[in-house]
Amino acid sequence: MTGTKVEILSMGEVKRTIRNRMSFLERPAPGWVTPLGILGLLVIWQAVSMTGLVSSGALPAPSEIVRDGWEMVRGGELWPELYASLVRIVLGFVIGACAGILIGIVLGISRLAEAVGLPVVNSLYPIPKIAILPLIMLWLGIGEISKVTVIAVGVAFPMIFNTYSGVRNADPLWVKAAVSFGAGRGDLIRKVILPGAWPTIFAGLRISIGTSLLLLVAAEMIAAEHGIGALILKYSNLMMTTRVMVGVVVLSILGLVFNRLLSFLERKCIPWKHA
Amino acid sequence: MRLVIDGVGKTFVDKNGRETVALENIHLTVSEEEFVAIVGPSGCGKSTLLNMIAGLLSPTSGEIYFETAGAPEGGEAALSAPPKVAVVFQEVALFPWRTVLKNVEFGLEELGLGRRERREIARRYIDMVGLGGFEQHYPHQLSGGMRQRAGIARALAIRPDLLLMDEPLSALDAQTRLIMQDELLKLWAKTRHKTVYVTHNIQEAVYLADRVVVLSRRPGRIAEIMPIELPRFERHDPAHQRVFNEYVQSIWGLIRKDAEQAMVEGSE
Ligand SMILES: Nc1ncnc2c1ncn2[C@@H]1O[C@H](COP(=O)(O)OP(=O)(O)OP(=O)(O)O)[C@@H](O)[C@H]1O
Ligand SMILES: [Mg+2]
Repeated sequence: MTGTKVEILSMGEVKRTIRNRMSFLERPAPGWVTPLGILGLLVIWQAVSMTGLVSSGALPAPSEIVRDGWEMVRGGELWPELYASLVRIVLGFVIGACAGILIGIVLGISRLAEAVGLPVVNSLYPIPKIAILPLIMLWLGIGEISKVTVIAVGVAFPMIFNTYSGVRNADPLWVKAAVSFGAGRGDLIRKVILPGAWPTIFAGLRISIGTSLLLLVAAEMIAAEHGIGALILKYSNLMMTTRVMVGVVVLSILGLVFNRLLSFLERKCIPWKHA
Repeated sequence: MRLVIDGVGKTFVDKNGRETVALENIHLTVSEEEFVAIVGPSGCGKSTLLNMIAGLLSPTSGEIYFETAGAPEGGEAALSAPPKVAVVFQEVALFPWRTVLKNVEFGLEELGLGRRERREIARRYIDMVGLGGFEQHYPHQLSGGMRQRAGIARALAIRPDLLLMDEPLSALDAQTRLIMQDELLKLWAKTRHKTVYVTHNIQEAVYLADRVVVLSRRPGRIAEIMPIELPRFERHDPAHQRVFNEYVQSIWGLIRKDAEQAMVEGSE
């Protein structure tokens, strides 16, 4: 019996204490584990690089990446690239998310819109948005608008589906309760259906972070003077792997920051889920 | 103002065109300050009837209306405002994203009351149901009994012309249920709303109601309307024990066959 602790008591009695056998699932990891894990990984990486087993042209050591990164920051080379990328992704994300949420709501509450719009959305959704990037550039030119547009389109689709399903899955009991107090259509949407859908909407936003980063880089690699994607492409053409890695690290940091921002917003918007 | 249920019936038709007659020919009048309990075996149409009274479902036949004898108190103006009906649902139906206070304020918002006034009224009713101090809690932070009380406060806060309750205590444990029955009685003594109270607990019905409506099953019809002629606030008094039990027994006698039948069908 794994869950019990056996003790022999003085009078020859045996005491078996029952332990919580679920505890290994609930045990929280101490706070220092995360930084230690990352640090450990970096140390191993650094060690491997220093043995010379892997050439620094293929996989540069972390120390080199940090050094080059610092140079690019100090020399001011990184900022215009980062700024260009930030503008595109933030604009694209916000526009796409708002449009997606709006369309999702409409599809969710109007049977007519659902009948007309859902098949359309369903048939457009599986198209990888990278595939229509050249098309968008053809229509909108190779400037900023086309880049923002492709990100917005890529974000809008997961947002439409998540919002739609959040709205459709509103508990009929809540709806009944609201209507019994005299809530009309507008109040029903504002006070019941939307708050009920917020958790699914946020799940959609999380998915969209990855999508938006992917499309950002793709768009910048096809045609852009500035941007992290353009930077990565430039240095990989020059075979400067370390600088390519700097760009990759910046992207990963961007993703992390967006995630944190969303978590913060989520706690603000749906406190009833995180109490 | 009386509530009149006039020859109401409800037939459900499913996708294959099969009909289920849930209710048939229901006649019932609920007067001012009257507490009517509806009992009946599972599936006899209690919830269906309550939903129709609440205006959440349309009857297939008959009609349900409020009737005012003589001139209305507030003149013509009083007639233009629709009667206020409040429902306490079996599954509580609080909004999880609203605190207790905001939940109780919901109905008041729909009445168009200002913020200050809403807050004041909501607090009063939260205190009345014994939830003072829990205004800022979310429903998931409350026990089942507390949630039910919040639901009752939300319904009472709009000072309804008609209060509907669908098995409000059935999710509670036996002890909490007894305590809540007493609290309901006390609340009712203060507010005296006319009330339709659905329950499958016969003791509860006899304890709370002026009249007990016994429904039969398949189709749901009124088997009997039984006035409970015991002093309202002394029904658990040992002196009334015998009469109380006689009421319970005769109601049980009316629905026993139906209830057994429901069990057999339910296990099929
Ligand atoms: N939406 C519906 N569609 C079809 N049939 C329904 C529907 N709602 C209820 N019924 C049927 O109507 C009958 C009455 O249902 P109702 O929910 O009113 O019973 P009830 O008396 O409240 O039962 P319980 O005590 O178990 O809550 C049942 O036979 C049920 O199957
Ligand atoms: Mg029911």
